[in-house]
Amino acid sequence: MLAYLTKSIIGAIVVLLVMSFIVFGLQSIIPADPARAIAGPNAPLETVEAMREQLGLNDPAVVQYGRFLLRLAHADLGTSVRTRQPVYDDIRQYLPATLELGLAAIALGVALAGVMAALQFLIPGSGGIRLVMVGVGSTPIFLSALLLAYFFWFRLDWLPGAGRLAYRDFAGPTGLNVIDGILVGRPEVSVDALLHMILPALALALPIGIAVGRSLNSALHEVMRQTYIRTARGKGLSETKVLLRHGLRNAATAPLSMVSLQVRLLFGNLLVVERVFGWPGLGLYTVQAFASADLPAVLGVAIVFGILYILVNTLIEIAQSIADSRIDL
Amino acid sequence: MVKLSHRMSESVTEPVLAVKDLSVILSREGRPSRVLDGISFDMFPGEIIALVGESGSGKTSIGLTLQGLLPREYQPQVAGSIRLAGIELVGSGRRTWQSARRHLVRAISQDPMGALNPTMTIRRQMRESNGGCEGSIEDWLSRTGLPDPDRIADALPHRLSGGQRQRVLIAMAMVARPKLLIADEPTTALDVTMQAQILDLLRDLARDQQTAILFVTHDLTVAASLADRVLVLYAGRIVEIGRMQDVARNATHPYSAGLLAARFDLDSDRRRPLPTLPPEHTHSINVEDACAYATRCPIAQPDCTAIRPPLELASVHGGAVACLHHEQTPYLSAQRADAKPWPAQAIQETAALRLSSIGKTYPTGARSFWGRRKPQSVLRSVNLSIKLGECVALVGESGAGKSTLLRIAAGLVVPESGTVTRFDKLPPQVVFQDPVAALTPWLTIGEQIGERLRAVSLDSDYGRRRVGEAMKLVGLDPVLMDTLPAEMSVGQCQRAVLARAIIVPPRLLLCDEPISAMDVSLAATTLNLLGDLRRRLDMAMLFVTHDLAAARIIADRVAVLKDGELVEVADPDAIIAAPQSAYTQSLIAAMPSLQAAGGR
Amino acid sequence: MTGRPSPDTLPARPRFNWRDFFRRAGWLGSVGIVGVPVVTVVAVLAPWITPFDPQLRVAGAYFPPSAEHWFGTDEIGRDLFSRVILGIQYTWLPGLAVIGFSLTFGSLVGLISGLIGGKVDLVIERIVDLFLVLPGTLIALAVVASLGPGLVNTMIALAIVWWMWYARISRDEIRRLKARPHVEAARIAGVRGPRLLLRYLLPGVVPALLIGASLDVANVIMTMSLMSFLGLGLPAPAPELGAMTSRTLDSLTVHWWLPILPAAIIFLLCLLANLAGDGIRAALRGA
Repeated sequence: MLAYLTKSIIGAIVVLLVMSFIVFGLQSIIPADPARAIAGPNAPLETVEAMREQLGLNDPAVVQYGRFLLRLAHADLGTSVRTRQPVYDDIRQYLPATLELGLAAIALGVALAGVMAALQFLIPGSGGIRLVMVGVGSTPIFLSALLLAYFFWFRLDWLPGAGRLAYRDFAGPTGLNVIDGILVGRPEVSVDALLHMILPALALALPIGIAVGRSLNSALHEVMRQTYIRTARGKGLSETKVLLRHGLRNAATAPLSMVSLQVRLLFGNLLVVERVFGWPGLGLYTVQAFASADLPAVLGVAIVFGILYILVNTLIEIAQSIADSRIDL
Repeated sequence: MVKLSHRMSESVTEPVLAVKDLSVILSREGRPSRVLDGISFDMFPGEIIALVGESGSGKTSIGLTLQGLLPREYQPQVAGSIRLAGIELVGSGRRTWQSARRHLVRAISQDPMGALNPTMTIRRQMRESNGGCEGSIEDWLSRTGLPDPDRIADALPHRLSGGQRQRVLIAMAMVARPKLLIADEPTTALDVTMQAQILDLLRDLARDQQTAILFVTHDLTVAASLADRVLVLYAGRIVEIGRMQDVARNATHPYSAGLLAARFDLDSDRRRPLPTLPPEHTHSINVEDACAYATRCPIAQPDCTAIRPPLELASVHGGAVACLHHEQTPYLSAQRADAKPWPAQAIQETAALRLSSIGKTYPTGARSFWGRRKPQSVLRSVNLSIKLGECVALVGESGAGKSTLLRIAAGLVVPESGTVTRFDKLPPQVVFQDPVAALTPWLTIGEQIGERLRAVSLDSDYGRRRVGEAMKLVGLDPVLMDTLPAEMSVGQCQRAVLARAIIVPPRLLLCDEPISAMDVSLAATTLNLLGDLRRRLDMAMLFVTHDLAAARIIADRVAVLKDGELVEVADPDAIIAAPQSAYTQSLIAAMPSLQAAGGR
Repeated sequence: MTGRPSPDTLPARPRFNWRDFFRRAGWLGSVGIVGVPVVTVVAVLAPWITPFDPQLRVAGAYFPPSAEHWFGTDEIGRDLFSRVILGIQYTWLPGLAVIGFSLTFGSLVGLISGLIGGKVDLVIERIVDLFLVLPGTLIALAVVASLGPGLVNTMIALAIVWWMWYARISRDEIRRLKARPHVEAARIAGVRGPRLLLRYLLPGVVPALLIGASLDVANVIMTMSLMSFLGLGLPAPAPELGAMTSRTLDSLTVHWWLPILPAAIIFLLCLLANLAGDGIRAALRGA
């Protein structure tokens, strides 16, 4: 276990270094001049030059990269061009909303996957379910988000489809509204936060549910052909027990890997869904950063998402080793 | 369940299993085919019945049908009657089947490696088998001869060896005290010594626990060492049924007689080709109103393809046989005895292959952080030479290092120490264990056989002629030149592999367990073909096998390998008559033999 | 289920023919396999087959879908259907190009890695591993954000995060094949060099690559349209489907067809590609 932790920490550092290298490399090869961007298009040449000197842009690339890493190590992600705030502060402000939505989406997605696999497994040879799954799996995230918003919010008005909370000035200790509502003794806030979360979380959960569900289903079909399943049936166990005790656990590895793959895609989808539902999180922040060519903000978010992704990956590997005790960490 | 066990205790002379007119139809890709046809037999408590047949005879299907575990995707249609401990199972509901599986019928499979859930401890799997009770789990583990049952109970399956797993599976089945145990080729994946121990264990269980055992096998010799009665299955029908010794002595159906003649053991005649069953010609004959064996049968008459032979009393042994002309069968075995002996083989003194002090290690275990693994020695200072025209058999159990030695001889693996000297520059050819896997699926067999001709000539007419000649030499119709391997049978693939090896005859042919996955008859055919080719083409041969009987038949000398060291090299009959090492003695003692089978 | 297949009753498996291929692909798969080339032809011919000029005002603004303007008209009266047809070109062809490039580059790297083995394999594998654990979409987004929006930059960014999948597939397949007895047997029969590669190894690698690539077309198109939706594609007048949806997002409640129909076309393209991928997999693997 200790060896595994060491290995995964080293691995995480390597991944982050590579990401930072790509990010830094991008910053230095872009044709746009950050000094010019900060100084403004009409600033005189001397001002831009002074700005270059001030930003250290005249130093050799290696020195710049070292400085960049040093700043990263101090959680200094630079200053946003758009908000004029340190990117670090911006991220701290918007991260809880995204975390809340992302975690809800993953949980909902895994639950959906279970339902999908169960449906497909229990109703064998159903081309209908397969077509639905392929169909949902082919829906671009913005279309599903749009359709959900259009029908359930605009047309039927069953659920809120814009923003995160009806209570404008609510601010809790953790920033996760569902939890904060309970913590400060205002359950109506938690309920409202949950209601606001349903549509965007569902939009994000659909692709996760489909992909993981399909993977789980094919893994189950593979496992249920194994000899040890016949052994289990031969003991006179009921089909449900065979499936749950012997099938599911042995089929867990591939779908768990698929969860990690889907989390990777979740980051992109978060941007879209937060944009469609006006969810005030990191995704929306990034979309706005795109619009104003706010590179430090974009790269800062990329680094934070990278760290989150590594965390999720490690958790999934641990889950895999619990499911299959042959996998040594 | 109370009802079930109560009924049983009333009378012990009642059969525990009564199968009547059992028929099974399975549909694959929408095409129904009858895999079992009119099967009837009884089994009594403590009785062992051997169910014998070639692959595809339906013998595994019987086991699955008795458990109600035929794969659902084949839409099984079961007709007839199965009464197990007085309970009718055909047409009964899911709960009755589950209850029967829990209390009455259990099975052990031919694949001990895959039959245990890899993510569950033995204890939990045993407990499940015991209706959730903890009691007598360790008791049964130790009764099946497992040392340290406590440790094994808490282990995961991948920590155990194949033999240990098979014992665990037997313990797991027996802990439920079933009335009927179905053992489907339980020893095919195991080494001979392990096989002998498992057979002993089954025999004791039948005697002590009064469990009826249905022993499914393709190997009559193994069956003979264990069973009270034998049931010979061909194309889903019983062709002969009788007491084991009687059928072994006086097989009455031409098919059983052929199977018996084709099996070989340490006493078989090695001076002439082995008797074999005629190959299966066709599968298109309408067998509804015919004897299914008629197309292969050497004594078939016109009426055999017009009437379905009923299962009648066999006067010779008091069992039953399904053959219209079974009185002819004795003449069949007489015919076979006078096959021409092999011509004398000139063995020269020059070595075709000389292996001197070969040593080899393999990395094993988990990788360390830096990707290194502990080396483990597989071969230690092995000396072996094969003379021109000579066949040497290398015998050993799994993990002895015999395949590694063959690969070193072939030049596929480089030894860490020692030298390999060959007579000439022409590289030796290799015949692998699985003939189907040894052929590239997307190239025609003609293309693959002709590959070695490219060194000689690129002319395609010449190539096709030579390929045709080579195919004829191995008994393959040259018409098959343009077929793909998937369109051919296993036996044909084996011949194609041999044709590729001998199209330009090598000085040395290396065979890696070429018969270990084959039915008795196909194995005998292959041994004959190899014996013929090596004499006709004057090839030296290294024949790697775990089967001492096959080694004795094919080889001029036998080398016994144990744990990477040669323990004995001698003339085959000398080795069997007077084994020098304790290991060889144990190998020979473990060999099942038809002659020794009278004991039960 | 009766143990090994009976040696002499093995059903003859006919050689490749299209009828059999489509039968195994199933009707859904066949729809996809036929649909993909059709879409490609439409994409190539798009500028010539639109009913109206996609760049010109041809009617009043915000006409809802009608017999004349199937998809209605947009905020300045351009025919939406014509713009969507042209949009297929801007979405489909770059998607195929990304797959084509990643496939070529990735499988070459994988082949080299798998064929040479040893140290080269180890180094390449580590690099591939690294790219595989990087969060791809994120990197692609960051790359485009840095290089500036645009179609070519989007394609470069996607190829950067996509090639390693094919490197992994081809390397694993080559290594699997190399260990198979039939390749070993071919070696023993004296087959060497390019002949071994072309006749005995590559034909075994191609199906896996084909399956992987066909299932990826939809993924690439979805990611590309996602980037276009986020404003990382071509600038405003270009009829990119994702961007068309994004630009008209706020009129969803008034003029639903403007954001939804272009997105629905992306859905259709992805659906066809996925069906084709599933069909090809079923036909080649018999799954």
